[in-house]
Amino acid sequence: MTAIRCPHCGATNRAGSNFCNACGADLRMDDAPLSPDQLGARSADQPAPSASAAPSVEPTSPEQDPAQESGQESARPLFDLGLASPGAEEQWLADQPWLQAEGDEAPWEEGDEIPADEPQDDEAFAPIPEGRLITGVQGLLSPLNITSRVDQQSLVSPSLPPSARELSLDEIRRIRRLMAEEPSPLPAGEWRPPRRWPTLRIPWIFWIIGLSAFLPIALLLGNLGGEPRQWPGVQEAYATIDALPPGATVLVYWAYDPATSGELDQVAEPVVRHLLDKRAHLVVVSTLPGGPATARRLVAKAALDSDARSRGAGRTLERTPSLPDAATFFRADARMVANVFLAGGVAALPLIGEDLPAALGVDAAGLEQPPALTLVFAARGEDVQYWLEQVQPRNRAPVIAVASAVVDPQARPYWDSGQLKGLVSGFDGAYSYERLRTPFRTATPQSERARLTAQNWGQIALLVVIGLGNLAAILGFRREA
Amino acid sequence: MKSPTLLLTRSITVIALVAIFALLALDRAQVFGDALRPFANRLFAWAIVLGGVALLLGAINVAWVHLRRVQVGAPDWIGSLALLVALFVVLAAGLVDPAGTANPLVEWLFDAIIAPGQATLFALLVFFMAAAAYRYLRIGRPGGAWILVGALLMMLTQLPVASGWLPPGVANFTVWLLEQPGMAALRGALLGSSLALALVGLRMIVGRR
Repeated sequence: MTAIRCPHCGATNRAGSNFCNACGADLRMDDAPLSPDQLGARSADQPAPSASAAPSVEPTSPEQDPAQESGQESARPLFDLGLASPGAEEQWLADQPWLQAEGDEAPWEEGDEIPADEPQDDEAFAPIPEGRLITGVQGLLSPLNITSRVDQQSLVSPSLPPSARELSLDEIRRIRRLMAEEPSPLPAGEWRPPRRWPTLRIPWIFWIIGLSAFLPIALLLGNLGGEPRQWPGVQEAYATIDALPPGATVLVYWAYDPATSGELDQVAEPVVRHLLDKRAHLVVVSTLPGGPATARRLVAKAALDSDARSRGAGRTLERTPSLPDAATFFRADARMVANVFLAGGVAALPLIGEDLPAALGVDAAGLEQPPALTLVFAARGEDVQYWLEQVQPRNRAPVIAVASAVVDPQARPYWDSGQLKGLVSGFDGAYSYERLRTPFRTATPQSERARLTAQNWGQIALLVVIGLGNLAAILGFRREA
Repeated sequence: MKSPTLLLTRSITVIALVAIFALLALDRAQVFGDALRPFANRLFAWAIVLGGVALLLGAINVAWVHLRRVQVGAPDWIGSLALLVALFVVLAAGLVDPAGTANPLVEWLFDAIIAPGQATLFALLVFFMAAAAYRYLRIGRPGGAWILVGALLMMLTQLPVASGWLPPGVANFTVWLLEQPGMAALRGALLGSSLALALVGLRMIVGRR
């Protein structure tokens, strides 16, 4: 039985192996065996062949090679060459003590043949004869069960020479990485180290946004100044509500809930304040389970603010438990007539246009007159669309959309076509509406200043992020997915 | 192979349904006055009932699935248990209080648990937007330069601090972009999707799916 030594890493492999078991190097470069003289010389002088050398075939069991015993340079046998001289084999084994057998028994002297009467499958689970790890002709046998050979003695690592230094984990990993790398297409002289530029990463974006948008607010660094632009539709919405007669019934489709109230409460609050100032009777309907509670909170907040401002005019804020919808706030003549959750989703909307008191399940006495105006507080563009398609053709009431900024592109075609009487969207729309409602105020309230600060810094941060992304693209910093 | 009789019956049924809803659509435009209005309202009420039943079936299915997960000790079964507890608490609170969904306990659940949770998830949107803008609003991508220019124009126009120094022409140009080419594209998309929907319906009616 023979073994070959890998020219790349020096590991020992079974004769006929195509690749090295240790490093995976190709061992098929030269299958021609070396002569016993060559092997002997190499065993004595070159225990580790150079990387450029061909795989060397070394003897492991010279006794089993008749050609070796007869000293003939015969042609290579099919499975076993055994070309090495006994002295070379001893030297080779001395260099690799982990291949030596335990005790005095020679490792290669006992049979490599499989018993003829023993099924081959059973050999995989048969005990391994002492003194050897692998038997038989390679490539034709089932793997042996080698776990039975693990004992405390076999687990002891071969001792290193005193001059040897143990590699650190990083060094081992580096060697592994080098061994696993594809060969560079460039010649060694033309190889250049990769550029060491900082890589733009997604966490950086989070830090930039966090620092630029939230830190200034927390530290009250103040606003950068400026005002949001007033977009078309805000002025018309304000004019429509301002033209309502006192006590007019206004139908409000409350199509948002706490999930989006962070933005939409800001947009809806100035409009609701204006309605309360106009002493409107609000009829609130929602197809969302959380809609009525959201509406009640916002209307109560707006009513309190309006009441605080108008207390000098003799108005008082009252609360009545008379309606089953609970939490109905009203002032002397501005009130929430109904606040109802409509089960059934979009399918329930046409009934609102048909018979409002029946659809809401309230006494018709609370709705003395048909709605003079409809407000759609929408977090999604579909809600505006549904109302204009399903309800507005039935009750013919003019519609104003009060929506989040993301709804604006979807709702603006309806504004341009005249199906919407007004469109208030996003914080820009709310700010502009509030400025229209209180034209003579001299100072911006603290809450609006904080929002302006957030909007300024947030958009600047987003612009910086976009700029960094384009800078990275231009400079060629492409991170592999 | 289906029999011709079956196919004919199915086609007649589909055509009859289409005719009924077409009449309802015409009724919405008040072509027939108030003649069909009670019938239409009755159908809408049925739709609400069907929606309620579907919602109830969905809730039962969710409860059953998560009950099984808790029983077999599936991974993350504690989440299923939390869902079942929340479902039971909200259901019980809505049943025992005549105010229904407006009772204080349900509102407290919305205010103290659902609202902060949903608001937190919604607030994460800005980070996803920023990450998407970083990755995709780039010059080198196909059509990326046009999208980038449009996004920068919109953001600069909406930036409050830029209102003082941004030339009015830039803001007016942005508004023109929104009102003219942007609106044309939006109307085209709306009309196109509506026509596609009508075409799909027509194919279903004539049996070419």
